[in-house]
Parts: sequence; structure tokens; C-alpha cells
Amino acid sequence: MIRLENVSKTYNRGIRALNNVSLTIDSGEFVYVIGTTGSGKSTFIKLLYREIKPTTGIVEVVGLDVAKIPNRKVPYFRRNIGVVFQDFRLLPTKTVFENVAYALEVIDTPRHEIRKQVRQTLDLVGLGEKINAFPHELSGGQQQRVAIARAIVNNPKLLIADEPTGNLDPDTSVEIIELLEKINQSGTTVLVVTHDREVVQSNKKRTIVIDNGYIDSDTSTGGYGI
Amino acid sequence: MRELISTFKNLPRHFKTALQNLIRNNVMSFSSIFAVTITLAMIGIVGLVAFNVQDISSSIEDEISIYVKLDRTIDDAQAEAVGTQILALDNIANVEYSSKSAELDRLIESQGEAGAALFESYREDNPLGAAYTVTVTNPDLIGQTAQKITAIEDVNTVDYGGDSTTDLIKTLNTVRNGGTIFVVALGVIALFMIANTVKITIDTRKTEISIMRMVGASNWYIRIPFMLEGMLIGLVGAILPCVMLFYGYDYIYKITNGMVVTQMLSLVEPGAVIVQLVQALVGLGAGVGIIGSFISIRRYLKF
Ligand SMILES: Nc1ncnc2c1ncn2[C@@H]1O[C@H](COP(=O)(O)OP(=O)(O)O)[C@@H](O)[C@H]1O
Ligand SMILES: [Mg+2]
Repeated sequence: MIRLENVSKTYNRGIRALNNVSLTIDSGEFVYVIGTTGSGKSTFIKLLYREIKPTTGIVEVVGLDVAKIPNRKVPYFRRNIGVVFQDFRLLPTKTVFENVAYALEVIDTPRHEIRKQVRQTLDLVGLGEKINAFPHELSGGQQQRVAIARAIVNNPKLLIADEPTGNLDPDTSVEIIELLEKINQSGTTVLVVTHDREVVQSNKKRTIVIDNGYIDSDTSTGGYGI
Repeated sequence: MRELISTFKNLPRHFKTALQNLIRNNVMSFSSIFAVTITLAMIGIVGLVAFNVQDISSSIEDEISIYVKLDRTIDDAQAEAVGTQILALDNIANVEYSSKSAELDRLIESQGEAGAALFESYREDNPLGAAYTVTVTNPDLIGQTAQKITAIEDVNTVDYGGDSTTDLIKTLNTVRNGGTIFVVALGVIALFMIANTVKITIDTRKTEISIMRMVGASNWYIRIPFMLEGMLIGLVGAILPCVMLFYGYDYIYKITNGMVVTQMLSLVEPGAVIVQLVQALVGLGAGVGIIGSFISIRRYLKF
């Protein structure tokens, strides 16, 4: 599903955010990526959905060499990946239904399909009741559920979450993590980035620790860093 | 190709999105529309003034002519020959002949009540020569043309108002050129103002754009609703200026009876001018809205 080979990323001002990272994540895995702020976690996942390109090395996602995808094709590539952020990033002028439906509209899904899939997905994330609410009428946890629904409504192969619980209280965080696990159980590969070790310790899942741009430890290859 | 087909298929949806954004971002939309309204109103007013200046100056120019008096002694055939020679010159629009006796009629008329008593007795032995009234195509060159006419045989005197006419023409040209520059400058300013409001509207929504890209929307899919929204802002912004010009000018035309000072300085009739101006404003509003959106959104759609 994901393969990084000797990947480094240097930003404009010479900041080396990732150093010689190699790893493989298989289809259907649930993986945590943890590390302190500024360690390079977001850089890592931005490489995966081609927000940025690696300076050196190869990034492969869903079998494609990401750096080689022409700009024009990037939107189509991204339809394979759902992404969730700390700040939810919902469209403020659209209702819950419209926010989720948007991800299907852009890929030309027929209207009746959209209605069906959006309803199903909102039921899955537990927001069937809030279908006509606007984002500002929802709590943080509810907004994150909408964001997750939007990310998975088109059945992506890979779901990436960058600090999905960063703005949420501990109880709500646990609920969101449980939701992500539920999504993983249906076959989607899930990658959760967090600096919150609490979240990780309560789950026995593969955990990759990034420190200062290097992979510090990876539980799949032995060597516990925590 | 795939994107193009998808774009057309989704046009109704894009329209709905544009309309929705316009309504739901009401504060932003209102201020954009307001800016468009103000600029288009300004352009409309200046445009209308320019139209009238143009019209008045060309009607003044139409009045400007060269009055060519022929020698008193020549016969009709010789007079006709002069006419032919004048017509053969450059810059001649029209030549109008006035016989000796017609010239006398004019003199009598110009003297009012006493005219007939004073001059009718000269009818038999007319001391006046025949004359031509010559209009030119380019008033700027009237001096040169008058000189050439003077050189023709049997021409007695040539009168075109001399320096005062040349000065008047210069003034009219200055006013007209100034007006043109003003209208063009205002048009450019309007373009920037509208483009800028669109740009601000889009800047406030860059997260929105990044989200669209996140879920895999193609660039055209993102662009079209913004362009349609820009068009709607331009169109709605054009309503008030158009209505204002339509009724306002009609009203001014009515209360002034179409005259500014004298008959010669008359206003352009409403009808066609207003239709043209309204078309221009609507086109400008919509066009600048669309183009402004296209340009402003470009930098958010780079990879
Ligand atoms: N666009 C950028 N330009 C320059 N430096 C950046 C950019 N994005 C991130 N960085 C730097 O790269 C390093 C890693 O950042 P990031 O991947 O966002 O870390 P994390 O998500 O783990 O907090 C930090 O030092 C950060 O300042
Ligand atoms: Mg980060």
C-alpha cells in the first residue's frame, strides 16, 4: 500500500524534515506514527498524498510512484486516499450532508448513489441525525466525524489522519480512535499521526516513532522506542 | 477531455454551488456587489458624459464650414467650374452652391424687417457674387483646405472663421481626448477594483479550495463555481447602475428638453445610447467577474 525507499525531504530554507526514511505499510494495516512537534510527521504524510514531493528517494502509494504523477492527474490520484486533519477542514457554507456529498460529486457519482452512500456513511460515523446541520452547529467531535465520513465516503484504499484528536478532549478522542479502528476492520488501511502517546498506549497497534526526521523505532521490526 | 465533459455535465450543479456560496457568504458577497455597483455607476455616468461630449463636438464640427465668395463678374459656367475644382480637392465633404440672387436673399433676411427696403433695389444689378458653402471631412485641416480654395481662379474671398475656428477645433479635440483617457482610465480602475474584490473573496476561502483539492476535485471543478460566482456578482452589481442610468438620463433629458444651453448643444437622445451603455456595463460586470475569478484563483490551484 505504502513504500518509502531512502526518502529525504529538505525544505527551501535548508530545513531537513525527513532523513533517509525507508518503510513499508501493507494493505489493511492500522499504523500509528508518533513523534514530538516538528519531528516530521506531517511532512511524512504530505508526501503520501502528494502535497509535496520527496527531495530524494521513492514514495510509492497504491502502487504509484507519487513523484511521477503529472500535476493534472493528482486530483485523480487523491481519490484513492482519504485525509483527516486536526482542524476538521469542513466547508463552512455547506451542510453536513453537502460536505460529505462533495467528495462524491467531484468524482461524478450519480445523484441517487450519492444520497445512499452519504446516508450510510453518516450512519456509520454516528451522525445520521445531523444531516442538515452546518459545521458551526456541531461539537468538535461531531465535526471530526463529518470529516472522517467525507474521507471514507468514496471507499478509499487508504485513510490518513493527521492529529485527528489534537483539538478534542480525551473521551472524545477515544471515540474517534475507535471509529478509525472500525473503519480499519472493514479493510481500509489506516494511518494515524499523533503526538499523543496516551492514545497509542491504550492500543496495541503497529507504531512508528519519528524523531527529528529519522525513524526512531518501528514496532513491526522490533525495537520498542516507548 | 474527461474534465471538459465532466464540467459541462456538472454546469447546473456548479450554478447551484455558485448561487449558494453567494447567498451563504452574504457579507462578503454584499461588499463585492457594492464595489461593483459603485464602479459601474461611475463608468456609466462618465460614459454618458463622454457620449454627449462626443456628440456635441461632432455636431459643432458639422457646423463648421468654409464660405467661398466668387468674383462678381463671372458667369454661371465659370462658377460651376470653380465648384468642380473645389470638389476635386482633398478633405472636401460637401459643396453647396448659392446663386447671386440667393446670396441677396440671405443678406436681406439677415437685416430683418428693414432688409427688404434697404437692399431689394439691388436685385437687378446685383453687387454680390455667387458663393459656395464647403464642408470638410477633417476639421483639423480646415486652414489648409481654405488656402487651397483661395488659390482657385475666380474665387474672391474665403472665410472659415480663421484662428478662432482652429482654436475651437483644438479645444474640442482636447476635451475629447481627455474624455477618452478618463473613460479608459476609469475602466481600468474598475477592472482592478472588481478583480480585487473577487480576489479578496477568494483569499478568504483558500481553505475551502484546499479542501476541494483534498477530496480530489479537478482544477476546473473548483474553478467553474468561482467563475460563475464572479459573474453573478458582476451581473447583480450591474443592476442598480443600469436602472439608474436608464431612468436618470431619461429624466434629465425630459426636464432639459434635450438641450444643454442652446439648440446646438443638444443631448444625445436616450434610446440607443442607453441600450449600448447598459450592454457595456452588464458585459463589463460579468466579464470582469469571470476573468477576475479565473486570475485570482490561479495561484491556489498550483501544485
Ligand atoms: N513548508 C515548510 N517550509 C519550511 N519548513 C517546513 C515546512 N513545513 C514544515 N517545515 C519544517 O519541517 C520540520 C517538520 O515539520 P512537520 O513535518 O510539520 O512536523 P510535525 O508534523 O511532526 O510537527 C519542522 O522543523 C518544520 O518547521
Ligand atoms: Mg504536524
